[in-house]
Amino acid sequence: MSILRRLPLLAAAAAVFLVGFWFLAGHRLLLRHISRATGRQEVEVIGCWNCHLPRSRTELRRGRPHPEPRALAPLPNGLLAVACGPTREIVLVDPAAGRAQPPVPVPGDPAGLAVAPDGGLWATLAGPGLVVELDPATLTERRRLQVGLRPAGLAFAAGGERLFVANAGDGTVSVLDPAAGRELARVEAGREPFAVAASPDGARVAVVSRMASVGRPDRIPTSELTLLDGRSGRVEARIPLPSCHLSEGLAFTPDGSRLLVPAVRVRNLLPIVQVARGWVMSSVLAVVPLADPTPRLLPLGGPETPFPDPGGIAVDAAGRRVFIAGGGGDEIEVLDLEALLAAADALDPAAPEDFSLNRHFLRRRFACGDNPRGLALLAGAEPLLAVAERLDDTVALFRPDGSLAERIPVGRPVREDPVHRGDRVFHDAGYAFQGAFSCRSCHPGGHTDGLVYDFDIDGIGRNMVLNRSLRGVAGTAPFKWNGKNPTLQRQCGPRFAMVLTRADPFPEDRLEDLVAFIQSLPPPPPLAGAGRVAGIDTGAVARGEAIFFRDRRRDGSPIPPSGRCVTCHPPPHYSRFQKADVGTRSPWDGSGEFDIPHLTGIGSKAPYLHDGRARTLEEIWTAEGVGDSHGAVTDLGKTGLNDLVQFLRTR
Amino acid sequence: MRTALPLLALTVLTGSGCREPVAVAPAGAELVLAAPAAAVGAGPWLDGVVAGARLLLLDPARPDEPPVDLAGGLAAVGPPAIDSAGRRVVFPARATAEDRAALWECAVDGRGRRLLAEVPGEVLGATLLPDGRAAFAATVPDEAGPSRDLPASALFTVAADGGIERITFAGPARDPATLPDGRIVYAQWLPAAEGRPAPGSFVLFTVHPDGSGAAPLHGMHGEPGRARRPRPRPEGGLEHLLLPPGGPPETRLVDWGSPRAACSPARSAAPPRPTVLPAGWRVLDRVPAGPRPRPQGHLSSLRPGTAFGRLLAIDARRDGRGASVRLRTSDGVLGTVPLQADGSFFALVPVDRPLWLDLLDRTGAVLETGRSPFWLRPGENRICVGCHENPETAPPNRRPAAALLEPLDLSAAAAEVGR
Repeated sequence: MSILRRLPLLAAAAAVFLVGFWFLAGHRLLLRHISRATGRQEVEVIGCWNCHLPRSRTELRRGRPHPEPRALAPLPNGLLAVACGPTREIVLVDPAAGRAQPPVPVPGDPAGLAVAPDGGLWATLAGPGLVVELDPATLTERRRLQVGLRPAGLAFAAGGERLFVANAGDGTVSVLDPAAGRELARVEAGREPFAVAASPDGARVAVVSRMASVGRPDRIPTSELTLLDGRSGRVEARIPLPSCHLSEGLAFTPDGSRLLVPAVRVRNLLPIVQVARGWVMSSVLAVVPLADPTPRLLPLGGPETPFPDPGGIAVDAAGRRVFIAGGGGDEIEVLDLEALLAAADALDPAAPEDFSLNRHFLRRRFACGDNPRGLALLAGAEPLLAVAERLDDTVALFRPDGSLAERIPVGRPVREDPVHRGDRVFHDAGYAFQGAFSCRSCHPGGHTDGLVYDFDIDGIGRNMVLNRSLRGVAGTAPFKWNGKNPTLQRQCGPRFAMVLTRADPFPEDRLEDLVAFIQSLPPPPPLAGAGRVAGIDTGAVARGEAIFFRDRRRDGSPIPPSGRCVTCHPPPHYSRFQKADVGTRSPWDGSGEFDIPHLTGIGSKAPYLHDGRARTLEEIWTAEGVGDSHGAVTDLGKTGLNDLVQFLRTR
Repeated sequence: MRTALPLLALTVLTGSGCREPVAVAPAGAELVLAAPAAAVGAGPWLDGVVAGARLLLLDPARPDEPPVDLAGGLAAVGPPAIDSAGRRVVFPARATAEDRAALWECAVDGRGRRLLAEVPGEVLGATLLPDGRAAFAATVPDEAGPSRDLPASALFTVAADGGIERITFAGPARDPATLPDGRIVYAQWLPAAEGRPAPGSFVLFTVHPDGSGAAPLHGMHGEPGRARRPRPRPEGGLEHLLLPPGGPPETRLVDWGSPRAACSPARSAAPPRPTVLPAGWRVLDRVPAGPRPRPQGHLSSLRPGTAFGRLLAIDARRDGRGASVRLRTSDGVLGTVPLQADGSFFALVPVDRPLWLDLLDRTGAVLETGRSPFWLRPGENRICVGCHENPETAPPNRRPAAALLEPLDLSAAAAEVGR
């Protein structure tokens, strides 16, 4: 009882002692502790939990996956095959009956579909890196072939004797002999090869890459359109698409003389000051004549009327029309093919983008469901355009005049949850000024476009920073390269609207949904690792791991904590969630301290460092490295550095 | 206490014991400004207030009901604007014949009418912004206009607390309206220049509600004539009046989303004359009153109190010629900025005043005299191509060399040349 009575007194004495201790010695001890661990010389506002509270590596759990139809393939039997990646299913839709059959599970997440000349249905399965042949009537698996990482689009060439598969995950194209069931060649392509198309005579195959190749941050980004021989798979041309990226569709003109590639035309080298008039980005159709492969970039949006996030494309040879899906504005554009080609022929490729050209070939725009992706033309008495409406889990059939003939739900119905609602927000351009772009326009698949941007909020030409991936960000606060945003709500809040979308901020409930979606994004899978890349040097990975966690140099001398990799990049996220100065400040940076990035999926996050100056992981310590300022590496030598990089690629 | 409890409950249940239901204009309704023809004549009428005019809310679904006159009892009234919710109306009006025209507001059913804003000049027209503020055009008596018939005028905004802010600083500005993207579209006078006949003409401009980002929208180098009274159409496109020299006014439609030519004569038939109007009255203006989608908002990134704005031009050269640009105000030259090899320049410039750019060669001789004024707001960052920017084009993706340099500070020179 007496002790209880004295409790307030004891508490007060303890408080006085703690305050006194803090002023006399605590701050100094804390600073020494932090400095020993991180090399930092100031405390700022951080807490013990920054380092000592274990953080879960798991992202927000999604509910039951939605079918999210993407790719479409009309079958000779009159049915339409629909790839539903998240549910790992393929659905057959009967357009005549206006209904879908029950979904059929497949051994992976289907990304692309193609029909062989013999009528067989082929699908790429992104996760396991497979191509499977399916019976077009029953969808039973006939056989499977291993290809590269995360295969996406595919197409048959040479009369069905060759199958080309774009391996988005490792930047290659697999050339397959489907009859023999083997891979003949694996050809280097651009970054994230995505869509594949074969010429009408099957003699040529084109592959377009979704991401711009990694280059110097002050140079014009270009994505690669790779032209291959339809039989040998030999590369005939690598055609750069300047300032273009995020292409997910590709088509030959009916005469095979030109390629049509919808793309986002980005202006990342200009300071982001105005969204109006396409000064941040616009959407284009790259018309590439094979005889003179200089891309002619024609605007898909008109003046004051953007057409954000173009995706799927379908060419109607009979009707001489081109259909393009606008994923950000939920619209389909119908273009006149002849007028389009005439405009392309007349265009000076070096001229500034003139949005008024659009009126020469645009015939119609019509609304469709949420986030249209794949398109397919259905032959019949009345030709129909099938549209995969990803976020509505439907396939819509439109007449050529844009009127809706049928809207068919695919897969099992799933209740809307915050993550799915957030997915809608993420892909909706309606939150940006004039509906010019969506979150996806810079973060395809929740990842990054790998480009450097100059936001004007802290001055023009100052603090230019690399766009960071959103995948795996759950639990990695703070955000932004300057580490100033403690939450994703703050990161995506009103300030974001002020400096980027230049419109109303996300409404509060939408912002919460958006954050739920972002937190649900898993980290990118490691580029290298057991079973992912044949020939991975497991010895190098093990040696690299030892280097990463080492505390002594090769000569046995101790490495101070501030020079150890693991000090700033501890597992599981491989980040200390603080800022650090690793000697990368440029003349245009206001500070040399930047948020320590987490390293999960680091292999697919090139380029590197806050301003994207390092094109590869190696360049962090070679071309862009300054002594041991970014970890103790100078004693490693080329082999040791390579081992460290190999280890990082498995994270 | 016993009687108070049921009253309190009723108040809670009904939301508010004394609040009146908020009137909303029915779909299809319109606000019609009409006046005796004798008061306005037969020529084109554009803005300002008209003595004896009436401002009527007409509901076509109830043709037999007598319309509400929102301006009843006011001496003169001008063109109305209504918010996207179909509830709040603003209009210029004079309470008595001796008053200046000021900005008035009321509910769509005419209730709660009050004086909203009064400035030294005459209020000519107004619009309502998505954030609840009103923007209005008013004459500026202490500034000289291009001619006696065309006094200086500018756009202003008025907040709910009555705070008034000027947002345009060049050329007479008239006819504000709100676009679906939240910008204000208005007619701005530009002096004669290439493609614009003497003495000048009205061109359609847009500006953000904070006065930043003013830019030509349409008619910069188009057919001769004055573009006035822009009005976004509910179904898309922008209607405006084209006043050809010496010819009758023509209603034009700018429809960027249409595969048709960008600007064409508006083909929709003129709406029927309201039957409630007395004979000899003329319809001066009519505005759809029913609810429509709320325009986008705009978060201002201006920094009030900042004396400068940042101006980055991507390529100010003309046909590859030009070595520097000279920046001047109406009072004198602020300074000269050298062009980088790619034609770019970067400067800090004074704010809230009209500025002109002249293109100079290596010897300092003027290659081209800037005729179209522009302005920056406090803390505004502005990026442009140069003097010959086409509003329907976007520049190439190239980092301007000047962006990596320290901007030349011309804002301090503003004090020396006076205001």
